[in-house]
Amino acid sequence: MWPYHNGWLQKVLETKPYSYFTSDNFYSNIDEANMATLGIYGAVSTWSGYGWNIPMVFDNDSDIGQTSGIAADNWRIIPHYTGIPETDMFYGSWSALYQGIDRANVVLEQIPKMQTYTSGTETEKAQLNRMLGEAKFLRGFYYSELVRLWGDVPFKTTASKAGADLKPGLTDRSVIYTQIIKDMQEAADLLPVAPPPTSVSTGGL
Amino acid sequence: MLFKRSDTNVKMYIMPFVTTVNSQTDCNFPNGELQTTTLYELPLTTIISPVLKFKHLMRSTFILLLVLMGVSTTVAAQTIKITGTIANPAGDPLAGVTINEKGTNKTVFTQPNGQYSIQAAPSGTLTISYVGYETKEIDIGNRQQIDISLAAQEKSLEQVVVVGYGTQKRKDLTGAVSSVSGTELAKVPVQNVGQALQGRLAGVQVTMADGSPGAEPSIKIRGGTSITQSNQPLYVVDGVPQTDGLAFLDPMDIESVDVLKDASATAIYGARGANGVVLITTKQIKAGKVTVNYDGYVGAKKITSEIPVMGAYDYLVLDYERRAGDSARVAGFTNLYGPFDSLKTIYGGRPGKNWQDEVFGNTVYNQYHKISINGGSKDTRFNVFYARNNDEGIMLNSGSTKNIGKITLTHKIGDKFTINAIANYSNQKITGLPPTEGGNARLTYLQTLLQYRPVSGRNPADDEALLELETDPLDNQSSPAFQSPIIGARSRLRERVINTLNASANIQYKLSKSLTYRGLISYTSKGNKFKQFNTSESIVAIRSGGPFGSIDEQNDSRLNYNNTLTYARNFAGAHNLDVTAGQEYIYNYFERFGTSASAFPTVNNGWDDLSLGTIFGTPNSRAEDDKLLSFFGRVNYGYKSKYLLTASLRADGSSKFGINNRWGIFPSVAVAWRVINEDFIKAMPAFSDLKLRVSYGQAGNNRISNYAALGIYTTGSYPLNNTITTSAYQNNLPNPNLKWEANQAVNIGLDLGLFDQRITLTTEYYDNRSKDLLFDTRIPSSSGFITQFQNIGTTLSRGLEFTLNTVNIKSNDFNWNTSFNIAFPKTKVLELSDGETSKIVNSYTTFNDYILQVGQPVGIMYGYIADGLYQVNDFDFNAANNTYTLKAGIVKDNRTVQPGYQKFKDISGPDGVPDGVINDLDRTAIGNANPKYTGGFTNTLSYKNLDLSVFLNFAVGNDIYNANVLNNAALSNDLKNTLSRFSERWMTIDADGKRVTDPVSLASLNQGKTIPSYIGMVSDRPYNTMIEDGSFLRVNNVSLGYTLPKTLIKRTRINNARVYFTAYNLHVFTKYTGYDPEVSVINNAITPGVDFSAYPRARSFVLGLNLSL
Repeated sequence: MWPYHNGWLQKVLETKPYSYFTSDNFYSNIDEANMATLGIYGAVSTWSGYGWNIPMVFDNDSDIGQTSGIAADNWRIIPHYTGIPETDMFYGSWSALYQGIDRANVVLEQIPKMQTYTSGTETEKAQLNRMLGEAKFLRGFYYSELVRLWGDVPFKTTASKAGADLKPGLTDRSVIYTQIIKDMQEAADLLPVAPPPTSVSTGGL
Repeated sequence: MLFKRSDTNVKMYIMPFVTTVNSQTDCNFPNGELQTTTLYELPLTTIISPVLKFKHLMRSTFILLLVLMGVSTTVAAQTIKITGTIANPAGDPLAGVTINEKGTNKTVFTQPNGQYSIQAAPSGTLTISYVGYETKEIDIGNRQQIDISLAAQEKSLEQVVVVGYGTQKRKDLTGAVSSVSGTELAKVPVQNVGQALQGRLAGVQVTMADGSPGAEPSIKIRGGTSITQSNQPLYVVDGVPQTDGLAFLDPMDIESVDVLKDASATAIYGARGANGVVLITTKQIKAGKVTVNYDGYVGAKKITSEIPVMGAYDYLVLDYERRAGDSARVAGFTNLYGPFDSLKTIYGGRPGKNWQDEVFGNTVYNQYHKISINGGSKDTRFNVFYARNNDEGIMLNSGSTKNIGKITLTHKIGDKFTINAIANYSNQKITGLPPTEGGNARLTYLQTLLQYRPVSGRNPADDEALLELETDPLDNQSSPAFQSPIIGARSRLRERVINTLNASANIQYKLSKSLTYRGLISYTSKGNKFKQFNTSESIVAIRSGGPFGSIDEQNDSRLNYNNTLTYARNFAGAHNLDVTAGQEYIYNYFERFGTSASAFPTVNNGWDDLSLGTIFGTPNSRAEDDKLLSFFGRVNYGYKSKYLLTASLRADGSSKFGINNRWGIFPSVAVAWRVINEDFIKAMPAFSDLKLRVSYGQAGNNRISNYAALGIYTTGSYPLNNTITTSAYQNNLPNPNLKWEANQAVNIGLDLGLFDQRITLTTEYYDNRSKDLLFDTRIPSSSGFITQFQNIGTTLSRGLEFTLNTVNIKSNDFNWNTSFNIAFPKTKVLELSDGETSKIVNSYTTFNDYILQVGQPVGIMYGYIADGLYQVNDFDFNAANNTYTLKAGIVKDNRTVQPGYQKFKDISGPDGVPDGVINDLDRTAIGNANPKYTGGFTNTLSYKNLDLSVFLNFAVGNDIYNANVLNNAALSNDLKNTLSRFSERWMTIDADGKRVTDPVSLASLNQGKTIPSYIGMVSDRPYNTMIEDGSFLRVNNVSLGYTLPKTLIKRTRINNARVYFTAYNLHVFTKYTGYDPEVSVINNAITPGVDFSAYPRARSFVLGLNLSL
């Protein structure tokens, strides 16, 4: 469109985001891969995920837990079975689970592209494989939660890209379950039986 | 005159005093011109030969003599020497003024002391002209001493207006430009000159978020365009563009402010012009002798209104009501305050402590002093000044002090080269705890101030002890901060220091008669340091294990340079062409750094030694930069000053935009028809100006964050094996197509002038469409992201503006001018993201209260509609267990209701019809923060040496969301005081303090009550009771001045002295019940008009002096 798309006029305007990582330069070493893997856990350790909504709101009122009070708060209305679909707590949990899934998809795509994955030491490869195992398990787990709560849901095993079509339809739950089981079996193969003695990876283990 | 007989020729010698040669004297003078100081030899025959032809020699000699005498009086006409002084209306002498005897070529100039001397005919006329002043013609009338005062060209067509990268005369403008003079702004005693612009210009809405010292005004031109990004205009100060604001300027250093409103004027600023452009010109130095000037004022300020809060008795009745029925809690109450039936006698006449009085009620003082030295010759001029403004805040321990030092130098070499250099340093220190601080809405300082108990116990003297009560025995740790607000203001220290250095130099070089080069380079360095510390006596320190504090600093630097070449030429007297081409580059860089520490020991050095803290916070740092490169051009063409055309084009490339859309093109075109120069109008003398303008253009808004187009990885923290570990994730979907917000604007304007510009009326109609608005667009969250930053929204801003200026009375002694402006802005959302027709957001707290809806303006409040109270007969009473059950058919709420509870209107259910249940579907638009019209009205009068200016501004039709009332409606929370309006609530206890349960007594006790019971109030939903009309008329500024007569000060060194008295924010006429109707604490275009914990406003009276030596 603009004639000097790649020429000097573009170069003169280039800037470097000093304080940020971008998708171009992340995943350069094991530490960064580990940070990204922890991000998959982090997506659901929020109020909307396992911090509050899923265990305390959606699982109540039942024989194992009840919520007291009759005020108009969402977190009382839903357990008392008087909620409506428009209540944004449902949307919050849905989004949190899919956020975790996309982060897992990114890790599963990016780690195999890393140099260390193909040409690192055995210990390093083992660490990266462990992270792949974690990502696979978590993806499977999050999809199982989505199916448990909602039934047929959109299903993606690739990371979201800018410009792509972001509106897939619903996928039959049995198809999703097949993938979940496959992911979890592969994870079981990759994950070690017990965590290593020093739990935080420093890359030089 | 001499005669000399030689031969038959009589020679005549004359020394001519006038240089105009009458074509009838058939004289041959050397060079065809007379020189004023040369003796000329005139052959007599040339003069008298026609006469001699008809006379005898004897008689002819006599007649010759007569004729000679007659000739001598015409040839060497009698002239007198006229002297005098030319000054401006303030009495300052003007140097370089041109004085010309009308009809002759004789011209002199005034000296640096303003004096002139000219030889002219006693019956002649002098024409006096000077740039920036109205040309005067004075009949000499045989006088030898003529002192003249020139009037500045304020509203006339010759007024020079600053436009983008150049200047234009007002009569040649094709775009919509509103202007205000610096002298009017200097009369307003405020620290930030932006505040003085309130109500002065049609379509320019200036609002202060609240009354805090050092607060930056928010300027919105023509309703603003953006939903998510800044609506602030671009500021250009002396040619240097920036978006920092106007805080670094001294309000008395402004020459004029010109605001470019339509796209034909702003398109030249390309991707930064969509929100309008405010061009500030600081005081230009005029040639003249060196003068030393002092300007200063001292003033007093006091709060204008308070929010009525419950006094001691009403508070205790409420406190008792909360406890009634629980014998242990009632016993606690009785021990402290006394039995219920004695409350009236003990506390009836006791007001208790009024915390607003204690914290905001003092009279505080402000001062301003400025010393400046300026002057110079026509070639070299300078201006140096230092100004200090100390503005104490009405809240304890708050204020803003500003120091400014500035040097300006102008040097001219010959006719071709001019260089101008400016260096401006500003240092501003703002102190004070913001009343909005506190994080969670419940915990902000102002709320805790309103809620702290006004009485301490039975003994009235104990109330004083509350002032310094560090730990309140009633504080139960879980309630919001329960401590004397005075200790709060004193112990929570906040200080912000902003240092700004602006240095710029521009040169102008005339390459040839028509071609001029102008270059500008500027550098700005800004430091913004924020220190906070909570000392050991503050309740936040007590509750969090000890004093804590932090220091955060941000340093910005900016380099900007531009070069322009202008070709200006007039062809054949009819075609006026001026073409400008230019280039500009701007580079911004900032660094931010912060650190904190907590759990300090009680004895510490506060923020001056953070190492004493025993728990360290994680230090943080950040750096970012952005670049802008542009090329632009503009053509101005005029045909016989009747038909004008302006066209401009700018290409902007910015590093902020996505890789696919780095460069944007912004064109504009405007035409104007100066009807006043057409013959048919010239025949109508009533008209002095008539011009029709139409313009169209495109501008952009690039005020987005620097890396919005990239996929940024953010770090978070995740607890792993009891250690906080850093995690990382991609925060957003990158958008390589991200671009600026685009604004397409059409403007139709009409300038009308009547009776020699005594009445001027400017009418503008505008229609601005903003598209590609940046919006966090909702995308299916199954993608892993809830939103993506896309250019997708569209809004419309349309309106009508009128500016009327009239010179009502103009005489030697008495003058009266009026200026009135009014604007009717309308905005509407046309499109949100794909498939989205509305978006619900929250403003100051966790629940949703505003809506962005297609077809509605931006700034709509969204909530429930109150529908009275649940009455006793809405329920079935079961006498066996004293319970009330809601009858069928009465609207249910999704909480259990009882008599006296707030009832809401059932608007809709899932099917679109009322369903008998109150839930999220029963919300609707309940208020509109946008005014129907805004404007201002100035009257300036002067009588001899007195001058008076009265300025009012108004806004009508805007709603305010009174969140202070909503937050204080939570009456059931223990110990909290609340607003006095709730004392007329539905009571659940009778006159003896016992709970009432039977229906008959309950109903009779509460007949006619409209306010719910203490436990039935709703404070977690926004509803229409909290939305109030914010229309107002403010007596903004009244200034009365007296200029000491020249005769009085003639013998002193003083050149000019003026004393004045100004009242600022004298009174506001409004129905709004909060502090002030002009309030908007949330800095977000979607949620304007929220009044939550705003700093109150003050009224100030100042006494000032302008002195010039």
